[in-house]
Amino acid sequence: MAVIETKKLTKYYGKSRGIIDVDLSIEEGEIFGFIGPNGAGKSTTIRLLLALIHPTSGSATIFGKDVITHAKEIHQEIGYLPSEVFYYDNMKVKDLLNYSASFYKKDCSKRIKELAARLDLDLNKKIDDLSYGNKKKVGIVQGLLHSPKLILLDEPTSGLDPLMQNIFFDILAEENKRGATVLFSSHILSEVQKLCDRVAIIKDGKIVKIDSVQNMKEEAYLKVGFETKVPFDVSTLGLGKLNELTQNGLDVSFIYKGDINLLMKKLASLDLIRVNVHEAELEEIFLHYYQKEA
Amino acid sequence: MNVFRFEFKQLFKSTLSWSLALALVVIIFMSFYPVYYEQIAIMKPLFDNLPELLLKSLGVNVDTLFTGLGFYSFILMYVQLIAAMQGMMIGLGIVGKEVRLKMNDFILTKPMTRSSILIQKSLAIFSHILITWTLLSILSYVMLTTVETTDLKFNIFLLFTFSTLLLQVMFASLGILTAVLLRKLKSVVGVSMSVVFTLFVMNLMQAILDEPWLRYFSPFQWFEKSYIFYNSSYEWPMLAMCALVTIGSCVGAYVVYTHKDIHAV
Repeated sequence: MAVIETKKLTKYYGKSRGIIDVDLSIEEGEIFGFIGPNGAGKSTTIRLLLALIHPTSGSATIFGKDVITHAKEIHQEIGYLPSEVFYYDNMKVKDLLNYSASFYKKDCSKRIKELAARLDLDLNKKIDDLSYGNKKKVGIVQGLLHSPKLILLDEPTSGLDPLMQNIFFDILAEENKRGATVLFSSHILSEVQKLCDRVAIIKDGKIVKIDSVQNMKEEAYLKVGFETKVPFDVSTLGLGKLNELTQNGLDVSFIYKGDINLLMKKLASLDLIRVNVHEAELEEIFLHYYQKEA
Repeated sequence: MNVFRFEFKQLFKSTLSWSLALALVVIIFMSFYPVYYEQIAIMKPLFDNLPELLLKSLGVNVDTLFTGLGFYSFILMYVQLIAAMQGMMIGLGIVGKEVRLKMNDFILTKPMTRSSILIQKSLAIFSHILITWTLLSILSYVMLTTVETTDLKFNIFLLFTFSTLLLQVMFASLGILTAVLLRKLKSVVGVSMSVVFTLFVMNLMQAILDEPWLRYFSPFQWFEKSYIFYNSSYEWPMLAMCALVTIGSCVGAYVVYTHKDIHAV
């Protein structure tokens, strides 16, 4: 069953574009990455799913229920971590977490303690006295304390040190094993590559591609770089259209997708000094999506 | 009712301060009254010689000033200014709290409808207003019975003190409406002060310009003390105006809050 399903979801802020005709279907138990640069529409999509903003047209359902009309029921099972966290002033960590827990129909005290211990968070401190990273930890506990079925994360790792990021990713992986579906937005591809099963790439408010991380890597995007002894025209190689082609004197690099044997044959015909062929990182594939239409 | 409990608990300190401020004004001013009453022979001609405009803008009615209730009605203007300030500040402060602290994402992603959040917050606000007003009314009554030399007209006192509650509630509703309309809120005190004082200055404007219709936009004149004193009743059009603004603000706030887009901060 699809946990999240959007149909032609569109949002305009007045005349300015938020997202246009976004169709997503995220299955139960998936860790789904949502990738795009700032301003592409990641946060807009997540805020629409959370009923913080209302769609201009199209619709979205979570657990099969409309996100706007059934917001209250849906929120019972959602954990959300925004990119920036803010809290009430003059409050202790545990008071804030208890207040947060008081909205849910279950006892969350055990889970609060577990998560705080895991993240090395002192529950008796005043929130105002915490560093940014520690405030972020309060946000993580706050988002997960009710063991939600769906976890929405909007660029969650900013402000976390690498060690904490790893712990955080471990916790997410455990939540996922427990059965939670995760939607994770980010502009940092390596973290998505590390964690997600599938990714959607969003550009200028439109989804340009949805595929599994595995597929994207298996589609044999190759990063090719070499240096020749004498100058030559790359277009005479006969490898079709090359992405991200750069030629700097005798140095040539590009991203190649296609028959690998053909590539090797063509390269063999050149008088090479150096060659370097490796599987393209998601980062490089991703750039290619962005430049394709540019 | 967790939002109600949370906000209700948090408001106690503020209510204590406001009640103390109001109590001080009532106690200090009312304890002047006996001294001043003894000097009536000297004081009355003094007041008679003051320009009418000044007296009017100060809320002084020379004919009634030398009775306990009349004197109370004079200080009521300042009591109501403080009470209005309280109403506006807690209305704006409680409903606008998530706007000020950029916490709308926190509270609005919880399993609770927006209407329920707004209603629970409003209940906390109005409960604290009622607490403050009850304390104020009891204290005022005690002070009045202590200093009043003639029989105290209880029904007039009730009309006086009830008008304070009506103003408090009206300003709280205005605060709630303001809170849901704002996208950013830096200072609750700043916004409240400007709204309350602007409306307070309408008093003066009305006194100077003497345009009767201006009174409708001058809340501190809706419950004219001398009218209440002589007629033992409110002026119905003004009472209607108060009800209109209060109910209008609440309904408006509800409609806006339940439909508005919460933008990222």
